[in-house]
Amino acid sequence: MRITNNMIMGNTKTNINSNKINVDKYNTQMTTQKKINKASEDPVIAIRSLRLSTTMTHINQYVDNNIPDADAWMDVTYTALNNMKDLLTDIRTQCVNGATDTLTAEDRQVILKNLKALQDQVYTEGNADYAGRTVFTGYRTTENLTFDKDDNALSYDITENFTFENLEQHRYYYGSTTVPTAATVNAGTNCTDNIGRDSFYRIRLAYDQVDNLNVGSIQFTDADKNVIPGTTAAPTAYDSYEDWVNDPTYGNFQTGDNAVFIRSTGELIVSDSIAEAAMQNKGSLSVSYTRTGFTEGELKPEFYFDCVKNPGQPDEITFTLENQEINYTIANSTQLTINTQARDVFNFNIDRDVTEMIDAVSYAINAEKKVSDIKQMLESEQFADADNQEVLKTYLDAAQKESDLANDNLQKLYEKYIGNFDKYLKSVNTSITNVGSMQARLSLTQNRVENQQTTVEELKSSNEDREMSDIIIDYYAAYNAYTASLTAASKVGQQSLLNFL
Amino acid sequence: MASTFMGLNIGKSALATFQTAVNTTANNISNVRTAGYTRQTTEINATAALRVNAKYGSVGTGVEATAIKQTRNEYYDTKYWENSSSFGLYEQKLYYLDQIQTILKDDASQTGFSTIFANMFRALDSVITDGPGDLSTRNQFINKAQSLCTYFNSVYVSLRDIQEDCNQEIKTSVDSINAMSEKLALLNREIYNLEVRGGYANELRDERNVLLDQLSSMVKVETNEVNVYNTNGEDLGVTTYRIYINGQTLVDGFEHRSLEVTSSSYQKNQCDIDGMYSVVWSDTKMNFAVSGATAGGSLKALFAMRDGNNADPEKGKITAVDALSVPKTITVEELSVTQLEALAIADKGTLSIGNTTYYYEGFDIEMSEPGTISKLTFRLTGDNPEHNVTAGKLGALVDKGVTVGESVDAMGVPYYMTQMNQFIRVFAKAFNDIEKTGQTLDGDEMGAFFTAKSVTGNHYDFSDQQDVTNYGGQTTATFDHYDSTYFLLTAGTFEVNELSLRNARYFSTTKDITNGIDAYDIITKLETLQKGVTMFRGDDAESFLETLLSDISVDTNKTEIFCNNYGNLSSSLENQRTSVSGVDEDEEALDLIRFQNAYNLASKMISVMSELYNKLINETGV
Repeated sequence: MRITNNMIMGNTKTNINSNKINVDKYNTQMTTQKKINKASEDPVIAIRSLRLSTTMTHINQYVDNNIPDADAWMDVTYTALNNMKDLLTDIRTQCVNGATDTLTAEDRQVILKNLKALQDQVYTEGNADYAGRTVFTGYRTTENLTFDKDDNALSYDITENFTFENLEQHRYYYGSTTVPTAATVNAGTNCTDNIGRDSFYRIRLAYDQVDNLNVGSIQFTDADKNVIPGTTAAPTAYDSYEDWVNDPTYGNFQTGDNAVFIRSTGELIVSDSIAEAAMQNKGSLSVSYTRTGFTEGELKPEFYFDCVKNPGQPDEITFTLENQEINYTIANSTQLTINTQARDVFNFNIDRDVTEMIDAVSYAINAEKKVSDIKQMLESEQFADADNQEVLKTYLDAAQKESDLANDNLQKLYEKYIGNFDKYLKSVNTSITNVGSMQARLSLTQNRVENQQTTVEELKSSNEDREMSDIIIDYYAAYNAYTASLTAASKVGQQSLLNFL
Repeated sequence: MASTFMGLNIGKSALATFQTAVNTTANNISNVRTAGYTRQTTEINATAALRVNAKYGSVGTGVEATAIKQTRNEYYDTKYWENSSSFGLYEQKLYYLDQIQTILKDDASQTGFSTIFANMFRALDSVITDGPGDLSTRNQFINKAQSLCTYFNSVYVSLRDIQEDCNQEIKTSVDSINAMSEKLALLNREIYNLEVRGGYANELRDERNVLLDQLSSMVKVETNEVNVYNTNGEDLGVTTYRIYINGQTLVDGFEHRSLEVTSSSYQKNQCDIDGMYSVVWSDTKMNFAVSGATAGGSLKALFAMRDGNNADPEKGKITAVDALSVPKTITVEELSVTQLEALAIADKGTLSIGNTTYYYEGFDIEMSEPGTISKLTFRLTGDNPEHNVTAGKLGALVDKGVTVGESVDAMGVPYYMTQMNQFIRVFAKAFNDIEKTGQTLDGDEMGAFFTAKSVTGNHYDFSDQQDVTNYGGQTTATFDHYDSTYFLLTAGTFEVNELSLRNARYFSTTKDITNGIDAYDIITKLETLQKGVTMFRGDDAESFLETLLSDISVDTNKTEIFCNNYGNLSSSLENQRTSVSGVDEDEEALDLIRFQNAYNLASKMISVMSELYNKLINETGV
């Protein structure tokens, strides 16, 4: 082939340019340390890199955001539950104290004082929050578990569901001795007869001071929702147990399928026949009732029951109880439930139990005081005559009977409630263990995800990054080729035959 | 016996001949750097011998330069032009593909779809962990969603800019083709005029070839040079030169044709720019074949990038026409694209039926089930030629196939636009459908989260299309193309609804807000839209860019390879061509020596002859 000088020059130019392209390529690689600059240079690398970036974003979200958040949330839960555990242990200690058969008046006072102090803070831990979000309240993180202030107008329709297991035998005490005055002593009243104790099956609602039941009759149903025969009754409502006792029908209560509702204590009392039928058939019962007026520190019903807030009002809200688990995605398709829901740990029976314990101890203190008052009267000059002594003796007997009953009740009740509080403690402890194991799982996952992060980073790097040393070697090779082509170009074309003519 | 002075004449002929040869060499040397210059050689022949009355019969009479010819091989020209049009095609295509690729880029240097999309879902996940009731987290998500919209809006604008550039460049190309056409015809005439008197119009032929080199990068060029004979069948020594571009005659001898661009208010695809040019021959008004198999060059690439829809336009069969209604309508069924999300036909566009183009100004969409188009009814405009839309003519169209817009087998701007629109529609619809099942933070019903804005500032929430899910007791629902359906949602109109942007409370995270403001059942559903749910071309949403990027990068990569190959071929053909026709200094220097020596000798011959005459005249017999 015939080669002209121009061709040599042209080819040299092309060659220099292709060398320059190489130098530019490696120079760019040197600054970016990436294999490619445009997707089209290697579509496979480009698309794999995109995919790895997306994976990286997911992992970063887990590592930087979700896992630390979940951890902090569970720390708050853990602390609150621990506090709850301490509190329950304290109450249980009071139960143990109260169950001792030799209690001095001072012991009782101490128990009373302690219980009252503890009752105030039973549910405060339920309002624990993480970054302004309450942790035990499910999705209602802006609301506290308990009412923040007293609201006498606030009303709820509450539907509570029970099973036969909620039926318990409870002792009721009626009659009360009065400490006689000078005038009454002279009248010679005897009051021993109407002091006594009865035992009934009862179902305790979650709230006391209930307005009324919203149902005319109650009935237990079995597992197939069929009404259990012999469990239907129309409860008669009384303001208090005393009112019922004063009712003439009191004595006939057990003679049929009867039920009574005590508003002040929120108790539904059923006759033994109903209770036995219900227990035999493993029945369950749904009770709907209205309560108006809530005080600070009481649990909000919507966290425990299906209920209607402000029924009949324009701002009526219907709450349906549902499982409100907050799940964080802590790794690819791994979800972790981070929240503990109030109803699993903050049992509404705790407050009710403590109230009953306080009532019992107050009752005992009261009865004891009556005894000591009457004893004091017996020893006083004023009532030293035989008649008065006689009358006062009967008073003393009555008071003593009341006091004995009260002490007996105190002991038995507290003994029983040791069991109750063990149960509450157990559920709190279970939750603590759950949170602990969740945190352990979280930290394992964190470890795994962090490893994954490193792996993806390495993959990403090996996919798109070039080793600096390789780039440098290539760069120098390209640069040498470029300089060599320049040197060659400087010689070629300098001369032609014309120079020698 | 020859003439006494014959030797002197022979010497003289040699002097003149080598003078010419040296001049040609001088011309070659001086044009050594001239673009397109072809090496010329002087043809030197012995002059006819003279019969003399002597025993030796005839004597040589000297030498003459018979012609100055180009050393050029036309085979290489043809090859070069052929290759040049392919090179021009891929070079131009690469230029625009590179731009699209840069627009869609998503890496450390530029934030693109994947990053923005991942950030949006990251913000959505943070709504769960930071509490859906928290306004600032909600706001953060809404803003990230708006970033996604803005991203698509800007890609839309950039793609349309590219389309606009292509369109402008088409006009410029046509202008320069016209200028060349005129000049080529002029050159043909001059060459003819020169050559008809004998000889070769070397410089003009070079000029013509340079022009053809340029032309061949824009369109496919073929030439045909035929000798001209007179009526007696005698060769006149001249030629007629014909030039064809994309298989059609551009120049025929002294006659040239020209192209013209006409801008149309009818579009080919939904998001096309206004005023797209089409190229027609000025004389016949017939379409200039720019995209066919016979076409090539950068002009083909410009059309491919501007109109390329991957040969996937809406097609169907005409099932009914209505020539009586005003406006007249054509109903098309058995559609190739039945998904509303994938519908990409222009609001006001063209229908190709057979070889005839019909113009429509709007259409009705009939859906048999939500999102599935069963029928399109096009309303024809008055721009249709009257004879096309007579009742008889229209009636004959029934059962014929129809293509809406144009089928262009390339992945150009319309292709990427359609892909984007399809993704946006599917994604926005899925997102909105989930959102609508929930409540806002105020407990109100939630509307569409992603909406479409119009140029007039209206906002569409696709409420019309929602109705079709109920059918109102009917089996089909019909919408106008401007009704509030997802057809209106494009990359250009994509936006987050105004209410959410103003008030972060307007975004649903749960079905029932009374369950607590931190309930997030809706968010959990929304999160499935990121991955796991098949959404776009059989893949999930977050792989959208991967799918699109693999299209563009593989296409660019392929084009790059072709461009390189044709570039290399181009330079090797150029080498071969110059190998034949290029000037080489060394060669010319040798020629110079040769011709100078010859001239010197001829000159010596004259002196020798002079001495001979001197001897004969002055000294012999005196």
